[in-house]
Amino acid sequence: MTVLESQTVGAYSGSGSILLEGVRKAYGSTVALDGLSIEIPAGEKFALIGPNGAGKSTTLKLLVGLLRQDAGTISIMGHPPTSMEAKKMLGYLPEDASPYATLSVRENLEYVGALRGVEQLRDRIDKMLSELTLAEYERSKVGKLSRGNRQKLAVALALIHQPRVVLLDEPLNYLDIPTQERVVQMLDRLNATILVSTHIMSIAERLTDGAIVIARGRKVWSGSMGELQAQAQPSESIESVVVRLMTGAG
Amino acid sequence: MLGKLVKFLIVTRFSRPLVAFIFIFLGYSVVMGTLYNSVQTRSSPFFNYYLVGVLVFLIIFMVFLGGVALMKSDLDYLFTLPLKRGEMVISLYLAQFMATGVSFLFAVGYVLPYVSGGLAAKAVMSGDIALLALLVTSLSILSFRLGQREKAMLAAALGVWAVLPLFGISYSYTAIFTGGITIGTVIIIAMNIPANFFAVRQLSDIEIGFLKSASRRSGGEFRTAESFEGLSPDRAIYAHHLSELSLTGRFGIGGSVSVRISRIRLYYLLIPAPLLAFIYLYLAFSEGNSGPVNITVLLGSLYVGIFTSILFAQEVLSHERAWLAFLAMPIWRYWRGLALSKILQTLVIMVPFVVSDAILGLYGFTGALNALIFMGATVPLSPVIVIYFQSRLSVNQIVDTEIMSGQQNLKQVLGLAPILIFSIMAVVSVLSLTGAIAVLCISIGSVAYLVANPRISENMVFSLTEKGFV
Ligand SMILES: Nc1ncnc2c1ncn2[C@@H]1O[C@H](COP(=O)(O)OP(=O)(O)O)[C@@H](O)[C@H]1O
Ligand SMILES: [Mg+2]
Repeated sequence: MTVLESQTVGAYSGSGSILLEGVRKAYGSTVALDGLSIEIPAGEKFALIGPNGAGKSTTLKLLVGLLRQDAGTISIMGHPPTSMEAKKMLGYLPEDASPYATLSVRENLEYVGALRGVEQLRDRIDKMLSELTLAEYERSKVGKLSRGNRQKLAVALALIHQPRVVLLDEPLNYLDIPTQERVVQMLDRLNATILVSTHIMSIAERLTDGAIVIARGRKVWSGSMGELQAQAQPSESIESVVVRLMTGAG
Repeated sequence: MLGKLVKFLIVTRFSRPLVAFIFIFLGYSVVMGTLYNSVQTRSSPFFNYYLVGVLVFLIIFMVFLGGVALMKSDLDYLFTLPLKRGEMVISLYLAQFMATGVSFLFAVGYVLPYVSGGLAAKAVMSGDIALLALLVTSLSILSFRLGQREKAMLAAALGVWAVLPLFGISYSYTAIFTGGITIGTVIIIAMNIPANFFAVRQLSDIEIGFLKSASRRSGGEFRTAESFEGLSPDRAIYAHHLSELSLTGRFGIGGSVSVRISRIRLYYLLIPAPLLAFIYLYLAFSEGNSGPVNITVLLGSLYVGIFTSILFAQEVLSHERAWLAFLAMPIWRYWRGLALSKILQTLVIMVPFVVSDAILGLYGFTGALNALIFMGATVPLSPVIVIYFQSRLSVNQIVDTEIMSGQQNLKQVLGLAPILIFSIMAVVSVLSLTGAIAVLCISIGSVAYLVANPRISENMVFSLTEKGFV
């Protein structure tokens, strides 16, 4: 079921999806989200695409309950974002994520794993460290890691509890191509509902099946990647389709 | 050219309101200090302790956290310009003085009225204080290139030397505050000559020093290891926040700040705390139990209280990670664990002082029981309140080891407001038993409210996120 279908049918139960309805959020006088409504059905992978300042990061922070909306409703599989049920399901990677600088790599994973009550924590950590080729840095101070390795650790911290709903903000930043590939595979294997914010189309194409395009805090288009491609004129790149959508020319 | 350069360096390092604030405050303090002649000279040790305390604090602070008021952009742009070395050194020194030495000049206003003797004595004292301001400035420059351990040793040596006059040994730079004006002045001059000589030399090849200190990476691993495996969520919070204290060294005042994080096991603090508690006891006894209040008890409670609450609240939030901690469990639960660990941590450190106060109380010292209540209960609760205030007023998250902080501005100064409130609470507590109990009740009430009400911690996180916290 795609977003469009669910909207035309007009009957969602609210549960079993990531849902924002008429959400407004302003920082002082800056309106970041202006009545944004999106829905991502359970199990689907969507990209949140938009230019800088469109409100992508704000959307994700609202979804994980680090911010509170001024108006509108938000639910994660039927639960409010700050509820324990939602917290258990959610895995969140912020933009330019920074792990605990006061802990080493392994300590970060142990601490967050313990806070989340992850079962068989040691195995889980060992597996993530080796999968992300971080094992040799496990005792390093986070401050001494390269930016790429720090991003790998952040990915591991976001996924340590095998979340069912994954929200990622520009997740492939700083990662080299082999690592990007590994992260994409890890995400595929999770079988989670995923929303990835990005302003880079190629990343959206690799990670997701659907796209939601937002600009100036409003949704301007949503549909499957195939539908997005179908919008292209002959010899028009998908990037320019998105630009057309974002600038409201389409 | 020199004037322009000085102006440039100051304007790029300090916001205009802050510069204005500094000069107004300084002017006020100097004018008050010179006009306020009619006050009778006091021989009370109050001001001796106070001034020695201020001096020790500033010197240790500057040696530890000192650094050069230099920004990374200076390296890229300013130093590539064809400027005269001498002018550059003078300008950098002045900017540094603004950042460090000026703070000491504030003391002028509070000292001069209490200097006995005529104009000459006051002039000598003013000169001494100006020289001390230069000393603090040059020490902060010198500490820039020292390693963590060397800094600690230098700070400890200067600190111990500073308190000698309180034990009757007047061969110290602080002797000027305790009656030994001649010997003190001689020592201050003698210290200034090498300190400034080396500081100026260091400023003249500052690029090299800057690069060296930026590249001198502290070890890539922490000395101690923590393990959270097999711990329940709450125990993990306690294990993390109770066992170790993260110390953050900031290098460079003003512009580019490089942050170095080290951890110490909490039990290392169990050595200096009894030592200080003993000194406190000794000073109180040597002062004797006369007058309405024992000055040592009053000032000891004040300093220990302020220092402890700042030490245990310092940068707790700056090092916190909302996306990890506050998403792993309900916000109120994490905040409760954090608050309880800070209370326990502080309580442990305060035990020796509580013992000292109890002994003083048994000997019938006035105010000792009040101080016991303050140190044993109010102070341990204070970090929670301080942390909460920080979250609402001013908090910079430390996300990188090289952070480009903004200019120093007035808001950062306002962040010190809770200290003022806390000082008043300390004085009220020590002066009266009713006061001590009232202050304690207010503290318990505030902490209970902050910890028990889930909305409070939730709103705290929302407001932190709006300020850019992640
Ligand atoms: N913490 C904040 N304080 C003030 N304004 C903010 C804050 N975060 C974002 N904004 C503003 O809100 C708008 C949306 O920002 P954001 O959600 O970060 O967009 P995106 O992630 O799409 O680049 C922008 O105009 C941005 O300047
Ligand atoms: Mg963003």
